[in-house]
Amino acid sequence: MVGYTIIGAGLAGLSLALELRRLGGVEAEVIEYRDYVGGIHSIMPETKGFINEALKEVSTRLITTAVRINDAIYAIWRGGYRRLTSNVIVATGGFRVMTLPELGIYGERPAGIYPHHAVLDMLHYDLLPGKDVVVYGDNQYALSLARELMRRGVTVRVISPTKLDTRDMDGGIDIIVGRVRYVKGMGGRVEKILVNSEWVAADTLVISMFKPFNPFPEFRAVGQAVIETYDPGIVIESGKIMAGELVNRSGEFMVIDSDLPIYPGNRVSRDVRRVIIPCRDVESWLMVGSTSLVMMLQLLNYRTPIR
Amino acid sequence: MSYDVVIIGSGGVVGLFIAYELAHYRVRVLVIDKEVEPGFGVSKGHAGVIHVVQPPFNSLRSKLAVEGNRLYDGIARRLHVRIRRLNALLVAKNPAQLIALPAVWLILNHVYGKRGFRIRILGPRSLRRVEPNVSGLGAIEVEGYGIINSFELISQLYNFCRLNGIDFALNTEVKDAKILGDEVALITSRGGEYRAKYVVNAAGLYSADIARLFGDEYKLEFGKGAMLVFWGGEQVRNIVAPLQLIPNPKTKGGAIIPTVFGTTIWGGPSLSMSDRGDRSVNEDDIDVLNEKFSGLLRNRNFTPIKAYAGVRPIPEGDDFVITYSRSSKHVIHLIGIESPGLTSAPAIARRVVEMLREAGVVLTPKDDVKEVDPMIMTRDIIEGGGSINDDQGEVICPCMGVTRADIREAIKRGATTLDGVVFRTGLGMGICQGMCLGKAIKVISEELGIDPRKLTKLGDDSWLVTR
Ligand SMILES: Cc1cc2nc3c(=O)[nH]c(=O)nc-3n(C[C@H](O)[C@H](O)[C@H](O)COP(=O)(O)OP(=O)(O)OC[C@H]3O[C@@H](n4cnc5c(N)ncnc54)[C@H](O)[C@@H]3O)c2cc1C
Repeated sequence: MVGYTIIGAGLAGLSLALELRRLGGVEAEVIEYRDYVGGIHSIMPETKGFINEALKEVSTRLITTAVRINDAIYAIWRGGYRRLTSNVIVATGGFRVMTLPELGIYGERPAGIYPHHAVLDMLHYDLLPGKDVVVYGDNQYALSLARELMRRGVTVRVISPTKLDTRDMDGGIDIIVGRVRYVKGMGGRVEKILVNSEWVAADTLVISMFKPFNPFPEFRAVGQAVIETYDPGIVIESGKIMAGELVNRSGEFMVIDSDLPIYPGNRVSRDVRRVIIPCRDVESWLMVGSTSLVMMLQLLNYRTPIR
Repeated sequence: MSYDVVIIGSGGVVGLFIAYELAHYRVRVLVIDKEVEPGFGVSKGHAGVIHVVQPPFNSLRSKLAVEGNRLYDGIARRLHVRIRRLNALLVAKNPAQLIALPAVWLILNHVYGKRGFRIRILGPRSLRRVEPNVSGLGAIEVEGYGIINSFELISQLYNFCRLNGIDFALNTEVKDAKILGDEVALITSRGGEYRAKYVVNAAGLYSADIARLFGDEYKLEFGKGAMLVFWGGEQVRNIVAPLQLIPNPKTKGGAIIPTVFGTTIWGGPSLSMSDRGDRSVNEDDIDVLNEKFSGLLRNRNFTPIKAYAGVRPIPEGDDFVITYSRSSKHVIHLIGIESPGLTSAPAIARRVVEMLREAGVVLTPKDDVKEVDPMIMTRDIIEGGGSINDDQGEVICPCMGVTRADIREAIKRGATTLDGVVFRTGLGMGICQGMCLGKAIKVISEELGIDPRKLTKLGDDSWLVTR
């Protein structure tokens, strides 16, 4: 029996570890860079239940980080390290935050421009990124961060390139539809932010626009490290699917012929019978409310030749 | 307080090199800088290239660049600074440029070759072999360039100076100066006064202002250069630029530059500007870079992670000015040390030391010069298979593998701000551009023993967090 090392105790990593146990008692250790679990979902009330349940069964190791040093990858903790080898490691690092040049944000680089995750950590340490904060994001993570900052007495505006669905929010969030274009500083700190063609005074800009990111492409990845989904349910599902792939008892595979990206890949085990097809642009076609449409194909009746 | 030599603006690479040279002699030296840490001036915004000959070829700038270039390997070895030698390629994109290569070779060989920098013509096949990712018909290859970890250089120079008894007054701006016979009095923003027998003005963008305090007039213009930094994989192995037969001032200069960190910089041309405090990058700056460089690469699938700009002081006559003040040989001005000031700095420093000697400074060599240790990071220990203990392996920045122990080491080596730690460790310089900053701010404050609200990015009002 193999023991797996799973990088990142977010929803995907926890779900994967949990499912591995449930499928056949396969042990996995989840390593986590932070001193808390949950990652981007740590402040989302709706996922607390799942995380707490998972922690009862799964062993996590906090303040333990996977790091690339030239061509090798190591798990490093306070007093030691070990090299991570072979295909037993699954990266579940989650989203990365998009860079300013990727987003077309120009201007200066004063203090007070923070990626989303840096602010999650600040909140965890009882620190605030500023008093007058602009959150730039088009997703529910941006909204939940804005809500959390407001709860702590910060003035917050959310800038989103697209219209946001705020039905579930407890109201009161000031949302401007537009693009952040330019940042100006004063004395070394953010002073104002150009949104479309208007200046918004603020001391902080938080970037909550994301991209899937697997820092270790040599390892298999689950969750938001590979799938652009904003639905926690799908993140959890991806962990389950990967667990099924890893355990794969029948050893039989099928190949799905498709132009669309398929998670966990075009070649899937017959046992799993589920794949995820992330496609952002067809939401209207399927009339699903989420920004990232993810379709779960039940492969029961969907047979293609085995190659 | 009274000193033999005071250097104004020693936070820059030029001032630090002068202090480094003087640290070998029995003289009392003070360096004053208005920034909170060394390296936060012009020296913050360059591309880290060790250049060769510079046009105009008979200029002081070109001469010092060549001298400086030759000194760098020895300095890097002694100070344990990462340097890599490479070539520069001027790439011909169209048949007209290809046909012109022999003529270009002839001209360049005359000026470069004469000074010992070999020039070659590369045909399509050699170009492909040398630079698999560059698309072009051929190129001129110039040997003798280098790239250096300039942050490490600044940090190690600073530590060498501190170790060898040089005093620093940081966060201190020189406001006024008076020549009192054989002495100079310097009045600072902190209400203090320093006395010096000799003063070196190495104030970079502000060198003309300092000169004016001594009654010397110089005119400086300012030029901004924008840079775009990319993550992920090697774009080029050498410094690569398009060959330009007909100079166009809007796109003159600049290149695709590999760095010692594994990132790549697209460095732009110098555009004139009026406000020397302006480090902003505009959409136009990036458009110019894209227009200029994207056609040179086959694979362009790299993520831009950061855009920044640097400002150069451009003197009248477009050459370095290194001279005594008209009113006294006790004051030496360095005006308009623009590109390639990093390259030239070691040679400039030696020249200044000679000028000080000529002006009467007695320079007796020390026999107990102390050497600096290399900055060894946790990742170096792990790579070497060594063991780590206590909390040495608490990783703060996963992209660059920076640990709490590394932050502690950076602080020991003089970091007092977030950027000071960033420069010395690479923290936050990876693709995620600071997803670790929340943790980093907490840990840096802990290690400095201050409230996180007191930590700044780079001094002044650049506060980071509140409560
Ligand atoms: C975009 C760009 C790219 C470049 N690329 C390269 C390159 O690749 N290779 C190369 O060789 N060169 C390059 N250069 C040039 C190089 O960066 C500079 O020539 C060099 O850094 C100049 O160093 P310095 O010490 O003269 O100036 P600075 O680093 O500016 O140092 C001057 C110091 O003086 C201090 N000061 C000013 N006024 C006062 C005062 N009144 N009181 C106290 N302190 C004061 C400032 O705070 C500052 O720290 C580049 C320049 C730019 C702008």
